[in-house]
Amino acid sequence: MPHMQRIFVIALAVLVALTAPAGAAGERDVTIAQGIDAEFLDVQMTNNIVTLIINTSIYDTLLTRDKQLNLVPSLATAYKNVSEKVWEVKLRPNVKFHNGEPFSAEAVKFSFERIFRADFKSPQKGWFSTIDRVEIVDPTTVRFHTKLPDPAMPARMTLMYQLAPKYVAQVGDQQANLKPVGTGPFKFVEWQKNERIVVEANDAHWSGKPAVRRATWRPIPELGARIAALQTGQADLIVNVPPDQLQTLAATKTVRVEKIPSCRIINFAIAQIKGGPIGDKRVRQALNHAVDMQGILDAVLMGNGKRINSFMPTNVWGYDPAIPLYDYNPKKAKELLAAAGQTNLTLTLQAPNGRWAMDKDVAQAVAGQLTENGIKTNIKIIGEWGAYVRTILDHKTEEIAMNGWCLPSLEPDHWVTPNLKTGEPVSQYGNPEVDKLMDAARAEMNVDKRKQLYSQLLRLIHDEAPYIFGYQQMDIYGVNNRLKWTPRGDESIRLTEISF
Amino acid sequence: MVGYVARRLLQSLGVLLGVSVIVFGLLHLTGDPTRLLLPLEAREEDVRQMRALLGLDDPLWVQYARFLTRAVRGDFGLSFKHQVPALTLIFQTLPATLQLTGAGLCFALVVAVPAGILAALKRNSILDAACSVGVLLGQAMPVYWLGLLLIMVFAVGLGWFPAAGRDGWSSLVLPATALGAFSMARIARMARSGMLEVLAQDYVRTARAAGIRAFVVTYKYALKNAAIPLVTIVGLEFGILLGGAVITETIFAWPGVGRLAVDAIFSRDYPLVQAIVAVLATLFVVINLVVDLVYTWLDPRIVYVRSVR
Repeated sequence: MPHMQRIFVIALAVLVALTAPAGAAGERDVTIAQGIDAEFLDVQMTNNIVTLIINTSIYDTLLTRDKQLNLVPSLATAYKNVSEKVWEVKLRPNVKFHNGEPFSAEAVKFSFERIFRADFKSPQKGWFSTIDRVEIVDPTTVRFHTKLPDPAMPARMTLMYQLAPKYVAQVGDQQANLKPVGTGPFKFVEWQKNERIVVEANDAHWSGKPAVRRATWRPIPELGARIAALQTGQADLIVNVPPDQLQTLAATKTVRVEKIPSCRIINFAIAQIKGGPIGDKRVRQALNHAVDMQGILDAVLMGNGKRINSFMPTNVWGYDPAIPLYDYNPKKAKELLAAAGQTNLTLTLQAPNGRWAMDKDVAQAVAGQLTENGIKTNIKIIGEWGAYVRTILDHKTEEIAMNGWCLPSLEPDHWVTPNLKTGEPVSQYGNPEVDKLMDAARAEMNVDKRKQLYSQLLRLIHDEAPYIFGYQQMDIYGVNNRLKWTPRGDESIRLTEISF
Repeated sequence: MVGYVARRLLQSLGVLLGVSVIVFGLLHLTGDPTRLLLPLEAREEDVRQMRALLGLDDPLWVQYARFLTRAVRGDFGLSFKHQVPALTLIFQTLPATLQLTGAGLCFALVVAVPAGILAALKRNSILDAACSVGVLLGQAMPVYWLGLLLIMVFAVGLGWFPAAGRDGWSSLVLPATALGAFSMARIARMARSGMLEVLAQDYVRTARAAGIRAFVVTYKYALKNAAIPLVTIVGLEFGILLGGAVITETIFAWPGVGRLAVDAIFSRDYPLVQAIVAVLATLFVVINLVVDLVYTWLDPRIVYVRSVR
């Protein structure tokens, strides 16, 4: 037995020694818990929203969006069209990277060209595929030459993260990822994989000193643990609180709930390209009339969601409030089905599990209502996201597939084209008339005319009903009361918007 | 002895090779990882380019041969998703997993062995019944449920321990308890039955008859002999715990290999999954070997010799 005791004592000592206690948190420090860790701190290696949120504290972009999601200057102070295919951008002078390297036109050219380097596995190539080249005019002026007239250039500039050319050349891509250097309001401190990412205030930032002194991003995948971390003060801000957990949070006095309709829209794609009954517009319209979407929002999501009239969230430029919502009208649905000769329809609806807030529950409610209103709808839950994505990209979805969409550019074209243009990888729909309008809107440089084109396009999409139109997801956060902070509609969390 | 160990190590290579073939085959059946690395809306040309960069457009056997020739040199390639050498990621996260697994097993042993012995010594008493109930609960409670329960009671309710993460020793208590509970139950049961069997042996009776103190009889003579099946199960248990850590690590946001593995599987990160499986399989094989060697120390009658045909 003494042997055993000694072994236990040594084992315990080793275990305790292995976990170094963390330093005490200061008053103006914050800890933010999200579901996953950053994939990269080389911001050009990712298109994942959570990863981008973390990187946005370290790197600046050329333009950015304010709280109302309007375009505002960041590292670019002004931009204009010199000609239809040339954008001239003025850069903020006297800006330095965290390592002291000056920011200039050189960095803009380097950052752009790095994404397209043949051996660089950036998933961002598609974001900037319309740009032909970058020309340096002088140290604080660059020109972007586009392949075609591209009115989305300002939106693209909100995704142009700026890297330090000399630093990256010196340390290489792998180190640039592990020890990121940007011009952003926060400087990188440490990254313990799957444990924490720590950043500290960059008091020399061009926008002034941040109120937050130090921020820790913690990945806590399990919802129960994330909520517990907020309740115990281990985290100050948590994301993705599902509506059915709001009551749990309400019971804790030190925390509050903040919510906002997100740029993420949840719809039910009807695979028109499959043909058959759902190839008929009247059937797709009938499906829309047969679902009481507001009722589902109220009952399943407890009112946490905002209905949409076409394939565009209300907070993205191009949305047209004049387009009506589909009304819940089972009688009209039956008439439309009868007119289409489809009175005995059986469909299958597929949905993921755990991808979007209460996705499976909402999908079950939709299928239930369709069945109740005479369209027998089976439900198929595909829990594993990789498998779900494959059905979409292989164009082998069931007749109806739940779909969630938001891209960080907030550019209207990035909602409609990937999802509805004929032949696009994600699109389960094809219509030359819709394609024509999309192409026209995408290339129109006159803002007013462009807005009109989107209005026309979204109206046509409403009428064509390639979706059972759903809702804008409500982004729900749990926040410690010591933080002054309200959420943004683009799913981002800006540390500079937090005060105490 | 040395010959035995060498032979066992050689056999282990065969096991590892077999594991690598199975994992490689299974992974490639799950589909193309390229589409998960790129945005959904990515064009076919971007997908093709990425596939070529990752070496996924080569025939399967070429990919496997490349994997194997590199793996024997300890190079498992770059993780698709993180673009960092797969082994680097594993060595960053493995200490956390070993720590959690070690703590879980310690907890299980500290509770289970005395409980099992006491239950055997006080057979059919209230104490024995209480141990049985404990065993039943430990085996019946799924780890995710127990984990959340522990968080609710000890983190949110009492505020004794942090709810999640790896900050100091106090953050180890809840995950280690959740992870160790199932093993604790199994080991306690084993300790009880092993002890009962040994206590009924002639030599124990003889020792008692010779007037040796009960304490010495129990802990010196009986326990060492009852320990052989225990050591077997503890060795196996360590392997099982390494696997079981996946769920525990997810619940408690513990930054270990288990979470890394789940994440790698969901994102079809072939090199990372293969490296993790190789490392864990090696660990498992080594533990098994160590267990076999410990037998000879516990019971000198066990000798490993070249098998006679």
